[in-house]
Amino acid sequence: MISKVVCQRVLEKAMSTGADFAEIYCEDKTSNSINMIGGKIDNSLTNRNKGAGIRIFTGVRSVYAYGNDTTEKGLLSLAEKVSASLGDDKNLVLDIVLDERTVEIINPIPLPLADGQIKEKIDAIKNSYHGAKNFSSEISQVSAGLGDSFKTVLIANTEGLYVTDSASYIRMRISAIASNGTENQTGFIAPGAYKGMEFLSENDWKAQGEKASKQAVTMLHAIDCPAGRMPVIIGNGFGGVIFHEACGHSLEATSVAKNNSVFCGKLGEKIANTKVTAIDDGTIPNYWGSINISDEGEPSQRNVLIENGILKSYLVDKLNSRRMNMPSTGSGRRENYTYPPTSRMTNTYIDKGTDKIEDILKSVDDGLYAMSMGGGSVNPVTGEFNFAVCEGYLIKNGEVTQAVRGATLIGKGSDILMDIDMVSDDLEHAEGVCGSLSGNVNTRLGQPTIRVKEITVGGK
Amino acid sequence: MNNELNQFCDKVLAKAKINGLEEFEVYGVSGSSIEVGINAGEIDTYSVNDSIGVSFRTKVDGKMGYAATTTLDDVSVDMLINKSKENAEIIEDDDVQFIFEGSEKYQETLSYNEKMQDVSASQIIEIAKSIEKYALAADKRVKHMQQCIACSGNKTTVLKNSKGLSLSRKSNQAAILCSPVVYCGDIANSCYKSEMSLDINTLDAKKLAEFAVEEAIEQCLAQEIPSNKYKVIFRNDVVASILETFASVFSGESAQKGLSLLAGKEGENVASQAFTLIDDGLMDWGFSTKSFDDEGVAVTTKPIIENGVLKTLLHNLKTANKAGIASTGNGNKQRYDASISVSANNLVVKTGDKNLQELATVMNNGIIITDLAGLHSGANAISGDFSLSAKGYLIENGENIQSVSGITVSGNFYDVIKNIIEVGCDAFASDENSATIYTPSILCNDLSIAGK
Repeated sequence: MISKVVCQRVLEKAMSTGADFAEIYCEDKTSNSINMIGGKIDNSLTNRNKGAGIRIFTGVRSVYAYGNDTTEKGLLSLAEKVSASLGDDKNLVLDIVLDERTVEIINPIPLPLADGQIKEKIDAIKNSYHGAKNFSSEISQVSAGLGDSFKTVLIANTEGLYVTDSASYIRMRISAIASNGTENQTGFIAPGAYKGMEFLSENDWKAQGEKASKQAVTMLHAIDCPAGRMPVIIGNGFGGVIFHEACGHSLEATSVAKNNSVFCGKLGEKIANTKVTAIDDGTIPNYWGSINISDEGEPSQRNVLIENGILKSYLVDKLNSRRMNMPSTGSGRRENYTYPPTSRMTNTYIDKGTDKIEDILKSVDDGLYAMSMGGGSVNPVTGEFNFAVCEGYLIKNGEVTQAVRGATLIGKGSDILMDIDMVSDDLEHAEGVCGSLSGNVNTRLGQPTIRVKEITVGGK
Repeated sequence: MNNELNQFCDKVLAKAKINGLEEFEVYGVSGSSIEVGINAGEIDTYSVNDSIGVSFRTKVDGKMGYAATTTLDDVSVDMLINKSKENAEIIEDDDVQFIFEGSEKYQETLSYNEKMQDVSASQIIEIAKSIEKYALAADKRVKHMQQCIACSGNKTTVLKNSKGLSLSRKSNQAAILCSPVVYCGDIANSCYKSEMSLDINTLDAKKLAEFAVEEAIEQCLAQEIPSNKYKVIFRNDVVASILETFASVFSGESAQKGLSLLAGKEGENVASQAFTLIDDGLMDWGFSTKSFDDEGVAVTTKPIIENGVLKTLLHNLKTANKAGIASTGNGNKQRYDASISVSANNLVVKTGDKNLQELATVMNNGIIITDLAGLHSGANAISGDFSLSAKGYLIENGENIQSVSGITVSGNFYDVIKNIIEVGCDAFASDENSATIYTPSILCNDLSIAGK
């Protein structure tokens, strides 16, 4: 890793034309992926991606440069590039003193990723594959793949920060296809964690494979979802994507700082039903979205976003904290060194309530039970969101009946938050990958089963 | 930097030979880019970047293993060789793998614009500033910009292998992006438009900004419409997003793995007679135009669907061999560090002779869809199903009577291409998420719309 002295010289160079803040981010990441399809391992990759990015601020303007040469010469050349954008070298004499910070490890890794663990990985993949394939004769194809990565980062800035950290991620993706010859339907599951090899022995991979296939087979026999406005019960776990999309993105400083969010200026106001408390918590040990430190070197935080319907906090990074005149919430994240960081979510969830799932079901005469959700997206300016239902059922007179396919939920975040009128006590979480300005970052979503009074359901 | 890349590739090849590897290949990419974001007349974000990446693959007992790095040092040379060998050793797939000796002939292509080398940072800053200026000037209801970006980049790719093949190519691209925020009374709206070109001087910031503003304002006044079946015109940019999402159904690899319902349908009618889809990897100044694909095979131009009949799926060396045909020159990889897969080069929908207004007249009653959201989640290439959030215009008696939002459009891609009534003449170019599409607007028969 790069020494303090080198970092000091690079930061001084970056500041030489009058910037008021400079930061170095160095990353060295090795990732592996192994994939099985049609009963055979067909792909195995190893990638080492190492590089650095340098960022400077003048007021609320930011300049960024990245490259793959992480020697002193390479870093100085990046520093030269960013500083040159502000004009000529003013020969400013700076005395940057870096103070090595110790990271509080909230994500311990008992069994680190290392060379020579191929057999355990292949066993887990094969168990997943066969669990899925043997579930039903209607399963025509299964793909099971394991991805893992280990990275070390160094972050240093002109506020005196010098910190190193490492992170270890592992995730299985199981995709099952059920077919009747003319139609295909899919089921997908992708559990992951901020963990090492212990993750493989903690899971029953056969059961995970079966879960993916159950969804595919159910959908093969499902009817097309009817379209229209209706009450919707959204299942726990990945159902949390509703909050992530409908509200979470609109609370990110990325949108709020430039007045591009429906929730601008609403701190302290009621923006959701009183039953809704929502939290972004990067400190839950070993969760997929957890972090020891942010990608700006700040300690991970637990941020209560909405408490009993009242907006309590936005998600703020360093640059936007200048724009908004609010402290950072430790939310600066990025996919890797090729992106400057911005405010992002970590593990975001609607907290558990007191309603019981039986009562929630009973309360609906004619509606949709969106048991398993896919992804979605949002326009923060309007709050318009959409998300896909992977596994849905019709509810008639309080009973779960026919499986339906092809359902999409659309609406406005500000409306849906008010319309969540029942919140159960069965909080669950699930892993996702969230794409935004600073690339794809690991996020966890969560919620208990909830009822939304009325929502537009897209179907045939 | 290209020197550095070439030298490193040669070093890897030499070391692989010393280590006794028999068939192997190195693939390297280096590039640089600049991106400028403007906010309120000032530079808001500015990013200047260099990147380099090298991938190595080797055949051990007929199985192919891969490894990649961004660090060009001696440690990486050994890592590439050892890891690719280890990865090859666990492969179980029996398909025959190829390190290619080269095609007989490579066609010269127009794909690299020399003039772009002279583009300066200040020129890109000026273009970015002008986008904001034009957007703010277009209508007083434009309050500020969500995003306003100009960028430019270039890339060099080299491919060298143990069969003596040594190829290289250069490419470049510039783009502008405009996302205005408009207020019609209390109602805020934004939209997002971009334009790409191999020549930065042809980018029309004024036109893009005015188009984005017009659409954002019209959508402020949008209303829901009743749920029903409607005839639909997908506007050209929307067709591009749909084709990008479902492009993998034309991959021979997807077909062989049971992931495309077009498997084995060559020679059959799979689409409307009005629909002809071509993979033209050699077109002049196409965003993905190139003379060789990522495993060194000469790129070709061929119809995939001709007047509704499936002529061929796309193949790389491995999938073509399995199908008993020649590679179609579509052995591409998503990024330098991925393995060889199959994808289209420039996917082109053959144009008809009516513009958007004339298509609306033909449709008479229906909806023009101008925006789809949620393609990454609400569309599934394996089943063909989609159910997506949509915006657009309601057409009655051929006339645009109302802008529409808060609706979804649902259907199945395989059915949609069968239900095409007519194809327009308004070709639009799009290059996003590694798929390059050239397509006009398309009129389709009844699709399900969910609204109020």
